[in-house]
Amino acid sequence: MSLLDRLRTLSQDREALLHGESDPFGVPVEEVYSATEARIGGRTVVLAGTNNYLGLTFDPGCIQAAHDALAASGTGTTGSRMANGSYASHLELERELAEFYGCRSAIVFSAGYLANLGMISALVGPGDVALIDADCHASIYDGCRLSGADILRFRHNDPESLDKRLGRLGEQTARTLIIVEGLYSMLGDRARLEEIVELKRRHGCFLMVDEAHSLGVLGENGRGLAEETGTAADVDFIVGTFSKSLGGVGGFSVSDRPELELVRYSSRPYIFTASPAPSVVASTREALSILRSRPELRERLWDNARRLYGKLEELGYRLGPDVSPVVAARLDTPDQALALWRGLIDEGVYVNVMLPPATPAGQSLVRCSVSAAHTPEQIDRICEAFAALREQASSEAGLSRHRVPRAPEA
Amino acid sequence: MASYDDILERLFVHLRPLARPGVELDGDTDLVRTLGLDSTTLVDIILDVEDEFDVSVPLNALSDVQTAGELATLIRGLTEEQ
Ligand SMILES: Cc1ncc(COP(=O)(O)O)c(C=O)c1O
Repeated sequence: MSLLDRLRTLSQDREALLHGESDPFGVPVEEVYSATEARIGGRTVVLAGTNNYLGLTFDPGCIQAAHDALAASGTGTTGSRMANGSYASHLELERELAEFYGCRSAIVFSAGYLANLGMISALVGPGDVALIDADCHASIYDGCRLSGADILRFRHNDPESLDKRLGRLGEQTARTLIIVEGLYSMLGDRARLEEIVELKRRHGCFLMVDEAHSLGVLGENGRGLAEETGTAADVDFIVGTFSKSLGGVGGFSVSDRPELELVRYSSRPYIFTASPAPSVVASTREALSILRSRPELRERLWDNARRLYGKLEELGYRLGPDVSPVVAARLDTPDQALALWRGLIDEGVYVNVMLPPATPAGQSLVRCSVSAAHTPEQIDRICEAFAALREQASSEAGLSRHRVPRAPEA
Repeated sequence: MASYDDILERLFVHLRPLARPGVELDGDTDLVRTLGLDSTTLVDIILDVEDEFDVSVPLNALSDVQTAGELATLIRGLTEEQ
């Protein structure tokens, strides 16, 4: 076996999965027309798999802010936050994030992925414990691995499973960081944060919540699940990203703990990479300001989410347990999911397809995410496409014949 | 305290449903090569195994585990530590 055989086996796996048909992974988006429309495969499609929750990628204010920063500060910072890459605008964005969350401080990272790597690897180390929900995002797993801490998992969204593991840790709980997500990215279900916070208190450990998919989506002011559940005071660290509701790229952490500032000095994913470009920082600041000043975007997002979830459920698709802007249909096999995905593209609708081993419990998912920028007519188009493919998907046993009871966590 | 053999027998209960028909399980059974478990299936089985033995198995420790016997040894070591 030579070095590159490892990669070559991937090409066989890929062949076996795709049978020479079109590949849903990394599909070329030939032209983007708006937050909700693009040209793919030569035809105009409705985008329903972009995590662009507030639809701000084409907001004129955000675009103008990016233009201005580009002209004023150049195309890139060409350096780390710890060297020449901390511009006034990075510090302003940190101040605005801290203020938005009502926290002492914030740190901006170059990606949401790097925010998880950077925070987790700075907070825990060898001899400590990272206790994570089994369905956590890859960036959380990778951050744990980078840290050298012992990685323990508890069953997805199962406080009893968490409690058992905390109980077994004994005094080590003082050196334990629990990590969960606000809204889980695959099925759109929320963490059971009240119960998790209760356990965290009882066992005396620390808690980090990744609000990547819940910033701008949940909570009275759009701060996320901690705000929605009134648990913010017990969440030690919040992590998030600019790449979803804020339409940019970059990540952050906020916390009331004074130790957050020290993360800058011990976090390799913060130190050893260039800081976000000034134009991205500028559009992100404008997007954050819009998130705060236009709560109607959140209302529109939820109207769209309820409309899509309700309709797909009515059609008999098996969905995630909670209504949310992430609406995922569970199929029985990868082939069914791929067939549905291809059918949707042919009907003019782009969504995501997610297959094992990247999915929880080996599920095959066709995952939509809705946006505040979708018109009701666009949501109806998405529904019609799913309706048109219903027979095909069900003949391939992708649908339950009976309405399945809301599944507890798999 | 469960013996190595006890632990192995109880592990087989979790592993058998995943083995292709006709595959005999023993301590040398390679979890990945013989059973064809991918890493996510393996860590999902660990959740069941943890509950069964009332022990927590860090994911980091699993990287050294290739066979059913090695998993049994790991669990035995962890239960002794507790
Ligand atoms: C839960 C979660 N955390 C972190 C990330 C990483 O964010 P980014 O794409 O901004 O690097 C993502 C999405 O990709 C995510 O779903």
